[in-house]
Formats: sequence, C-alpha cells, structure tokens
Amino acid sequence: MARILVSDEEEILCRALERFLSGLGHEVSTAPEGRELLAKLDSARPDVVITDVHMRRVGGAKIVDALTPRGKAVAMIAMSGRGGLENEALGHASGLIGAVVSLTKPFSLDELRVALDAVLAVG
Amino acid sequence: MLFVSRGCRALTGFEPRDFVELRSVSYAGLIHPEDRRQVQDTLRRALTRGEKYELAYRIRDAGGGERWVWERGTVVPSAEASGEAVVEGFVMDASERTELEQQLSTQASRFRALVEQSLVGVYLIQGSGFAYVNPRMAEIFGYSVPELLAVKSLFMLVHPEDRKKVEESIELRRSGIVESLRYEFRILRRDGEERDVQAHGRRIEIGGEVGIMGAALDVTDRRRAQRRYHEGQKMEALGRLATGVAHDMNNVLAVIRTTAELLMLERAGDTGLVSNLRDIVATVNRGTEMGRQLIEFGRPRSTVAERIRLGHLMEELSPTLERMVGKEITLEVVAEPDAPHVELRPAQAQELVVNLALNAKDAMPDGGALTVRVHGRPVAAREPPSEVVEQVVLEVTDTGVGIPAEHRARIFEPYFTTKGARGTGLGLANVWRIAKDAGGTVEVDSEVGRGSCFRVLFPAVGERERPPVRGG
Repeated sequence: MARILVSDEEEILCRALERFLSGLGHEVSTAPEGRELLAKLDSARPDVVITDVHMRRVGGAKIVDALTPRGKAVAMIAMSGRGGLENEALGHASGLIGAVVSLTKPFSLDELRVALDAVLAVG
Repeated sequence: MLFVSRGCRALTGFEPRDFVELRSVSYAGLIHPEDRRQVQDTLRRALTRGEKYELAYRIRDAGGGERWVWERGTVVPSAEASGEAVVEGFVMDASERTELEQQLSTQASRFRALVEQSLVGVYLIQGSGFAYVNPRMAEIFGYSVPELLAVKSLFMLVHPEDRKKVEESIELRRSGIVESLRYEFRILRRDGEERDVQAHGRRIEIGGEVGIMGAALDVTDRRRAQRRYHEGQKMEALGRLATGVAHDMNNVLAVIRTTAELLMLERAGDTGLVSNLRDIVATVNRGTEMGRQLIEFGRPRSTVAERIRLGHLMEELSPTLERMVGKEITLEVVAEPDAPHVELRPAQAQELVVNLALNAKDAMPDGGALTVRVHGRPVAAREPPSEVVEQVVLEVTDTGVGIPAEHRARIFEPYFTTKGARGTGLGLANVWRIAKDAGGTVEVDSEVGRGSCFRVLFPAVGERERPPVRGG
C-alpha cells in the first residue's frame, strides 16, 4: 500500500479521490490548493502525488521543482483539463522524479487505477 | 468684287483697291487650295437657293502668312435688270478662335484617350441604358462595348437582390435630391458570375436631358479578402474562448464523473441508482466529446503537417465512412488518381471528412447518397493568393435536406447547430478550422430539399506526377 497525496482545486474531487483510493487500501491525504500541496509534502511524505498541474498559484513546473529533491522516491500522476499535451513540466520532470503519468480530465476511476498501478510497479 | 471695306488691309495686307479697281489680286486666289472647293461649293449653293451662309477657311496674306478667316454672307437679289444675284457679307480674322478650337479638340482627344485606357470603368447613363461606356466598364460586366451599350435595361445587369437599391440611388440623382453618390452593389456578369462593384456617379445634364456620369470599380477581390480576414479574426477569438471554456469545463466534468463512478462502486447493489449513475457518466462523456472538439477547434496551426494524397486517404477511409453513415446511405468515393499532394496531418484530414460525413448523415434521416470526391483544379488567375496555381478539392455531396440561405453564413460558427440537443455545433467549425490551418477554404452549395455540397479547397503542394518521359 502506498502513501498518496491528492491535490486539486475542486475540493469535491479531492474528497472523492480520497474515498476511492482509501477504499483501495492506500493512505491518502488531500490538499485542495497548490500551496497547501507544497506545504504538506514534508509531513505527508507521499510515494505518489496525484495533482492537477494547472492550479491557479502553483503550476506543474513548481510541483516538479518541489518534488525533485526527493528524487525517484516520488511518482506523479498529473491531472489536467487541457489534455496534458502542452504540459512542459512533464517533460522537465522525466528523470528527476519517479514515474510520471498524465491523465486528461475527466478520466474514469479505472484509468486512475491503471495509472496508479503503473507508477507503483515502476517504483 | 464690287466693294471691299478698308478692314481688308488688316486682314489680308492688301488695299481695297487691289481687289476692286486694280483687280491686281484675286480674293479667290488667296484662299488656301485645300479650302477653295468648300468655299466655292458653299457660295454656289447659297446663290442657287438665295440663302445665308457661313464659312471658315484659310487664306494667304500679302506677307505669305496663313490665317483662318470666318465669313458670313447673304445673297441679295440685284436691283439691276440683268437680275444677277449679288453676295454681300463680311470676313473676319478667326485665327485665334480656330486655334482655341484646335486646342480644345486636342484636349478632348487626350481626355478621351485617358478615359478609354482607364483602369476604372467609366459610364454615362441616359434613359434606361448606357449612352457611353469605356472598355474597362464593358470588361467589368463581361461584355464588349457595343454589346453593353445595346443592353436595354441597366437593371438586367444588377443582382436581383440589389436592383431596388440601384434603382433608388439612380432616382435620387435624377430627381436632383442628391447630386452625387458612391455606393456598392452586386452585378451579374454576362457569364452569370456575381461580382461586387463600387460606383461613384454624379447627376449631369446634357442637352436638357438628365443623366448620370461616373466611374465604377470591381471590388470583388478586395471585399472577399476583407471578408476572409474578418472571418478569420472572428474565428480566432472564438477559438481562444472555446478552448478556455473547454478546459474549465473538463475540471467540472471530472468532479461529476469521479463522484458518479465512486457511487457506482460504493452502491453496486442498488441497481436503480447504478443505472441512473450510468446515465450521468454517459452524459459527462458527451460533454467531454464536445470539449475535445472545442479544443481541436481552438488549437493553433500545427506545424507538423505532412504531404499527403487526399484521394488515397479517402479511399482508405471508405470502409470506416461506410460503417459510420449506415446502410440507408450509399457511399461513393471518387478520387482522381494523380491529384496533387496537400499539406495536412492525416488525423486532421480524417476528422474533417468524418465531420462532413456525419453532417451529411444527419441531413439524410431517410437515407440517400453520399459522394466524396477528390480532384485537382487550376486556380482562376484573379483569385488570391496568386502563387497557388492549383488546388485540391475535397467535395462531400449529400442528397439531404439542404441548408436554408439564412443559415449558410453561420454554419461554421462553433455552437451553431440546427440539430437541437443532438448536435454539438462543433463539427463544421472544426472542418473550417482544419481547412484554414492548411491554407484552404470551405465553400458550400446547398438547395433546400435537394442536398448540400461542401467543397474544401486546399492549396496543392509540389508538382503533379507526370508520366515518365521515355528516353531516345
């Protein structure tokens, strides 16, 4: 089982994902705002960060920068309403942190499960 | 000569007596040889009929110089028994006047040349037709000058929808309410082509008859470029807006979908609830598809286009399209085998034709025929951009319900749909976008009740493949 930190500005999505992931047996904490995500990294010590990469104050690049010192220990599932295509942060992240998978919103819970299995398998 | 006044010295340089008493000089001899005949004829006629006459001719004076004179005379019946008629009159120097006339005539011919060679159409309207047109004017209408002058009613040359406008603006000037007017209207050329013309005409009175004189310009190309530009700007702005909305909407849809799916997992036993939740997820998916199309619409021009053969691609897509349109619709793909390449991403070409085919399918609820045609077509010389010499035409024709004229201008706008909840209003918007990104345009012909034909015109790239030349 993994420690997962979920961050999205839609608080309801955070809660729903928390419920789903807890149901799968993971240890989940949430941060409904980008700066809260950065603040919680130390206390939560996540294996996987599931986060929107287009949040108002904290974009994907900032999140990757915050995860970089933790090296391969942290994987990232990057959620985006923009199809993830133009997300430079993801390219920037490769090699610096653990596995990176992007998910285009809205995704199904199955897709999320597959993505999570993938990053955990690599890790 | 019976009498000559003293003024003859100033005119000819000879004394009156040279003509009358001495008869040393013959006045007739002073007349320029080329003019003598005309003078003799006029005098003879006047004498025979007893009429007044007027003459202009050249004489040689005592110093050998040439000058124009003007003569007016009357035939006076003789009081003498002989009954010989006498001519009485006066001759005056007309050099200055004639020079002026000559200058005027030179000027007039210069102006005529200017008008005849002018790059704008020049016309004079009198009565219901043209009294004068220059060659350019005739060219604008696609006629020769005599043919255009022979057209009985000007209104036959005007687009039916603009006839009232033209009639009113001519009347405004004829009646004198307005002196001059500049306005635009559509004409119908002899070959039936519709062109935009700008005319600037002014009221003119010639010999008591009121007419309109002016100049006309064919502004079709300029107007088309302007329309294209404005359309482009509008679509750019719409694209940016659409993309922004779609991105935000995806965040909202993610909340709905995730929550619904979570509930489906947690209440798997409650079949009624699960069925409702499934409907919610299906609806979210429809919304997601709309968003995807919106984002495609707003996507900036791709730089990774490939040179592809549209004809080949359409033939490859034929089975897919056939499945898509269903059994009620017969599909035919006609591709000119050596039509030139176009620069386009294959995925975009596919999206384009799929959208057009879906659109056609919706237009034929009771079945019909769908034809996809690909062929090369030379570009008319006056169509910008001029460096493109050939276009590749992708034509999608259906036998469906057709598009009413009032909708035709709006069908490419995102969210414009006539299909109610079934349509996203994005299919044709994306067709337009893809065509534009490839440097092309979309044309539509449609007749309500008969069907529609969407023609996507792409600039051809590279040369047509020619059969190899066999060496000697």
